[in-house]
Amino acid sequence: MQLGPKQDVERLKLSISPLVGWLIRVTPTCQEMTRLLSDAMDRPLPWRTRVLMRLHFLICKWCERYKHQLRFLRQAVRRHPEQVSPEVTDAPALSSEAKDRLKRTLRER
Amino acid sequence: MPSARLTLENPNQAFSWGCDLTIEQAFATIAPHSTVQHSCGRRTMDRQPLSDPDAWVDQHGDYLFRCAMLRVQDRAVAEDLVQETFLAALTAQERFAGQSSERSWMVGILKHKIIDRYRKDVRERPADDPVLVDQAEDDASFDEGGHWKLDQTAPLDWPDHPGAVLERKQFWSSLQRCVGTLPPTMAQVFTLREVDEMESGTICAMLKISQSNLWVLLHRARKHLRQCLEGHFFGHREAH
Repeated sequence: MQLGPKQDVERLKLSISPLVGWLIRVTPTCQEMTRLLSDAMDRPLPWRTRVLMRLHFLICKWCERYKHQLRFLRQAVRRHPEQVSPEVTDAPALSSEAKDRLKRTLRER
Repeated sequence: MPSARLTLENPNQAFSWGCDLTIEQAFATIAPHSTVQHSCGRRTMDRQPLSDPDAWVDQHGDYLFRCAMLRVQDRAVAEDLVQETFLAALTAQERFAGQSSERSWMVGILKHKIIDRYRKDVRERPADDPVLVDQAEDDASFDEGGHWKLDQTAPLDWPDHPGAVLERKQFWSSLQRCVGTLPPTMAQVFTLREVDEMESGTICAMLKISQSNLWVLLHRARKHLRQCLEGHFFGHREAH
């Protein structure tokens, strides 16, 4: 049911099928799907929206990949938070005044 | 010569210290994924001692400051947070369990300090802030019908086993580079939400934005990172 690599031909053929044509019409577009898939990671979506998203996956493997890839990204950084920290970068560092101030404060304790 | 101490420059600080959690609570609330562990009542003799507090500023100051900057995007606040972190570490050094590195222990304290600092702002969240985020999106990833451009932007099949990917240094350096290319606010919300697992409400309070704006920012950050990783790490367009 999912569209294969020779998508253009496939899509043309499949769109003739009334069911697929209907699914393309009623489900969110891929652009809307990316937004919804992201939102689903932060808030509960209405059940109707969730059903339509499920239906969209029936005709679009790319959005399903997108969903898995966002989840993978989340799992990756949550499992290894230390890896996302700025190790050696050209990001701004503490000024020497700030360092002196910090050292003084620490010594006073 | 700067004589004013950081504590005096920030009127909120007295308050935030005043309602600070105790160190015990602080350790209890550090996220479970953190490598920081509290060995309560179980002092092992072979634990690594902390280094001399005098050396902390040189050893970890810049690192902690960058971690703080990534999350708060404000120099003065970041400096404040680093100071609070060092002071809390000084008070709590007895409890340093030695199971994690000194640095990740301090990062754990820093993250707690950030949440603590903004928790009190949560209820003062504005209803909406239309200025920061332009909701309309002219997105080149999609055709006029809102569908993926199949030979340009449609997500590829990421081949490797996820576990194996996380072992690879190159994956993390690509990710760091990609986070670096995000606009600052997006890097900030991504780090707070995805890395630190902070609640949306707290992030909205920190940035003083509405939830719907936060969701747009998160959506764009995730989309950008996914695309960037695909370009720099996961492969080539022809491998459909």
